[in-house]
Amino acid sequence: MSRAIQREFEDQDEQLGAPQPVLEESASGAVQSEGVNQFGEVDGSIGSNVVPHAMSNKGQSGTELWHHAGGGRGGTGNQPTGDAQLTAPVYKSKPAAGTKPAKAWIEGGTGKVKVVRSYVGVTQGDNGVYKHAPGQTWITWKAKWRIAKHEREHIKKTKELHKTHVQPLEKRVSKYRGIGHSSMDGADEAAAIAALQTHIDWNKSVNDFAADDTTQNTPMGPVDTTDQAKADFYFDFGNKRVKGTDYGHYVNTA
Amino acid sequence: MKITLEVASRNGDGIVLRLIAFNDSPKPVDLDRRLLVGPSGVVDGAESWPVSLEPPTKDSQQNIIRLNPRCFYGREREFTVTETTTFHGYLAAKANGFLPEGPANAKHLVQAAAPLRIQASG
Repeated sequence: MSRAIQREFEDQDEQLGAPQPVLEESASGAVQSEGVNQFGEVDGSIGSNVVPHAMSNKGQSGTELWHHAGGGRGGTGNQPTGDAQLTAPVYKSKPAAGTKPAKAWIEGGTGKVKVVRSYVGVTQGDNGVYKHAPGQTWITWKAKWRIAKHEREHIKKTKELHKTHVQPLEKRVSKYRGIGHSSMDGADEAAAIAALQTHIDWNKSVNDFAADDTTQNTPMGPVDTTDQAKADFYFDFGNKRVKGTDYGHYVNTA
Repeated sequence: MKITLEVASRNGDGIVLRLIAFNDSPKPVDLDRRLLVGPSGVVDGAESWPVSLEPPTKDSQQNIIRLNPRCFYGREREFTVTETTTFHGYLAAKANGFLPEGPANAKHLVQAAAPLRIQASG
């Protein structure tokens, strides 16, 4: 695996205050693509409209209030599940000449998949009115940390799926990308391009990544339930007085 | 031991639920209140709300409550239900991961209350 391929996955870690839209978690998890190239290969962007949400609270300074309480984004991912920015391959070819077959390759700068994941942490302390019940919400340092850890679990899963689906795709593409690299032979130009397309298998790879990322990271999907099942997860411990103020929801780890 | 989840009162979207552990046996039973989990809400098709527990006491022995026959221990929590929500509550045998519907390890379930499915008032 080349370093160039690894760089395509950008882990932005905790991102502060980026004005990106956050979609409702109850939205459909269907994978949607933006467009296709001349060969019907997915181009532009792909993803669902489901944002992975945290089940606990832990973040860093400058983060937002918890989405279960007074905030809209604290403890959520910045990107929808399945999200990836795509530059579909542009196939180039030259005709057969004499005894040499037709050849096809991929134009430089195309056939790229860029996956970026980041999340918004939560603030420690008063997080405002709880959304699911009356009362104010207090988040401890431990819970704030645990919420951030949960968001990192979503990113970790996306990285795994990137390794499974996207990195092999990038490897296949890079072999045939640009002049001077390998080319695919064919009886004529169309046949060479078709053979290369079959070998690259662009749509299946990017769609499998988007679909699996959505399945794994969707609310109450495998990442949520696996992480929530861990003994160090956070809970709502109910009423508690903190620094002279009564909070209806004291959120802490067990 | 019998575990039940009941609606204590309702006013519009506001609802008060009680999770009850009732000793229906003829002998005293020691209950660890750290292992009574809920009520915890799960909205259809969305992530669960944080699971409800009680904070542990510094002296771990104080977490153990002796329930004589025909006595009960419980927890009351108030919620705001704006979407159809299913509430769960159960008693676990071990503190080793709690999901809303039951312990992470199903073998650690002592008994679960029948889930309560609550519709929004609107």
